[in-house]
Amino acid sequence: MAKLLEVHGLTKHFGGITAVDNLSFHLEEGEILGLMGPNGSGKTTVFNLIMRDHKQDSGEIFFEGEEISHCRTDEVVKMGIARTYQIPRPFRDMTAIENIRVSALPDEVIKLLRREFRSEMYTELGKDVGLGEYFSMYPDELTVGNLRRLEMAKAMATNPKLALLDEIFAGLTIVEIAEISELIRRKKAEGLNIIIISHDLRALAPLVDRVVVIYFGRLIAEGPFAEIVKDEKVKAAYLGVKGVA
Amino acid sequence: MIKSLLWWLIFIAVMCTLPLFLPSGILRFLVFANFVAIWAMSWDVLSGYTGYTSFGHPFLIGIAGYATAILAHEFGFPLYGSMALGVLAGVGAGMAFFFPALRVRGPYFALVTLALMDLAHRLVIAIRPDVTGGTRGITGLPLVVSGATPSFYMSLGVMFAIAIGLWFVTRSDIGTILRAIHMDEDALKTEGFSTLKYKLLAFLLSAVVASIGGVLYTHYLGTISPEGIFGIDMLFMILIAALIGGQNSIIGPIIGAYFIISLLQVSRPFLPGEERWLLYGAIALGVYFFRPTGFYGIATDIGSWYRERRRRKQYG
Repeated sequence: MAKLLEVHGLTKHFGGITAVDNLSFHLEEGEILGLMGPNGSGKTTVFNLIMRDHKQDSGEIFFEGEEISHCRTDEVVKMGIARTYQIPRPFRDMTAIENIRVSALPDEVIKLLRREFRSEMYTELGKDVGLGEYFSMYPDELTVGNLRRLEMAKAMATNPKLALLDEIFAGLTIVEIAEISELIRRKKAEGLNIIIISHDLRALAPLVDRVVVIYFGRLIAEGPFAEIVKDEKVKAAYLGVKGVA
Repeated sequence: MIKSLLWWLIFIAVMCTLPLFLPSGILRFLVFANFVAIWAMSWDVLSGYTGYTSFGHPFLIGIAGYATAILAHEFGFPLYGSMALGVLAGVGAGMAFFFPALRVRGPYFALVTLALMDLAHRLVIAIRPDVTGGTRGITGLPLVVSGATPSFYMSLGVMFAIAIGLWFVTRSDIGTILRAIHMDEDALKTEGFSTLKYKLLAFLLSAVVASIGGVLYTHYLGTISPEGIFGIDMLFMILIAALIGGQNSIIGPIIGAYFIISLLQVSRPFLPGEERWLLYGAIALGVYFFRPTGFYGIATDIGSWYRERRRRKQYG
């Protein structure tokens, strides 16, 4: 299997703190990868580095064999990487369907000047994530679960090959977790590659093919979920025992 | 789209009849209202839409105005040549100093642009007063048109041409993207948009419009002075017109400009001095407190309330 995403020796400092420390991992094509680690271990920073929201201090990121360190965020998105945010970031003054529509609009001035992108063209994207009844609602009126669905729809609207889902299960009910999990499985079957950050190990376990665990920005374990949870270092990291990393 | 064009035509037709029954003294201040409307729209397309609040639009207006004034007065350029070069100078100076500031957000952008305006004010007085006329400015410039009625039609025509152009752009999805920049620029990047491109577009539209207003105003008055352009009154006038008219609407700034200039005229006998800014401040604060969408927002609210009531009557 080909490596879709490859991260090599990635390092990022914020002042005196090393958020990501010489981290290497990869994602195989057709895989769902779980990115685990206790609070503050640098998971979201890894996503921010892949999305080029931050520039790394050293290391390389390859997407489909191409180095993406020199790219801007919008270029990375156009190459086929999308992300959802841990705290949903919809456009507050736009309805759900308008939010999806904006995400799907082309980044070309001339095309945007023509008024040809009607909301009706994007209802499928919304229905696909289960937002069908909430199109005319504003983000303030949506539940946490529906905000996560909106995040998914916005990510899907850019037509990605790889989706980075940041804490997609946080704050959801058991039913919603089951629904979002089903959606993620369906997207995988449709050919989407996925990396999920989650604290919810029970939600993560049945979904992921493989897990990467980081602690203080360093890789401490990698492998199938069942093996990882037995790993002494991982247990120690999650339980807060000193001297593991 | 067709319907809104019809509204524009009605609006323009009504405005065109004004010189038939208004004395030239009143027309003169309506000419000024047209210029304030042009500048407030210029402010709106950049600051109202993208949320990058500029406190330095007089910088763009003034550079364009001074460029054409100096070229016409010192170097004897023909009127239209110096006006075209004036617009180029305004946009060029904006690209060099104003546009780079769009990398910083919020109050920082406002402060950088305010500093640019103040810098231009001081430099115009201090550097080569033999060319710029120092504090007294330059007088005796050639006029575009003379007489109150022709001036009114000229300023009205330019104002409406700009308004319809900006209306067309901002009502397209360009406007949608500019508003999205206001709401969350980083999230928009994550949706695959090169936001810099749209900020550049908004800035260029804003700078071109401000500069056109600047050169025409200079050659309408036939004079330019540092205090008249770079003074804080000018900035307040533009900001208040845009804010109480209703930002990110293009129509709002026109309403705001007419309102503020009319108020200025009406209140002059009672409040001849600087204290009338208190009145403007109070009105702006009141409108902003109760309806941040301004007069335009209030008008659209009434419109939708009326339609809703009619719909309810119709269907019980």
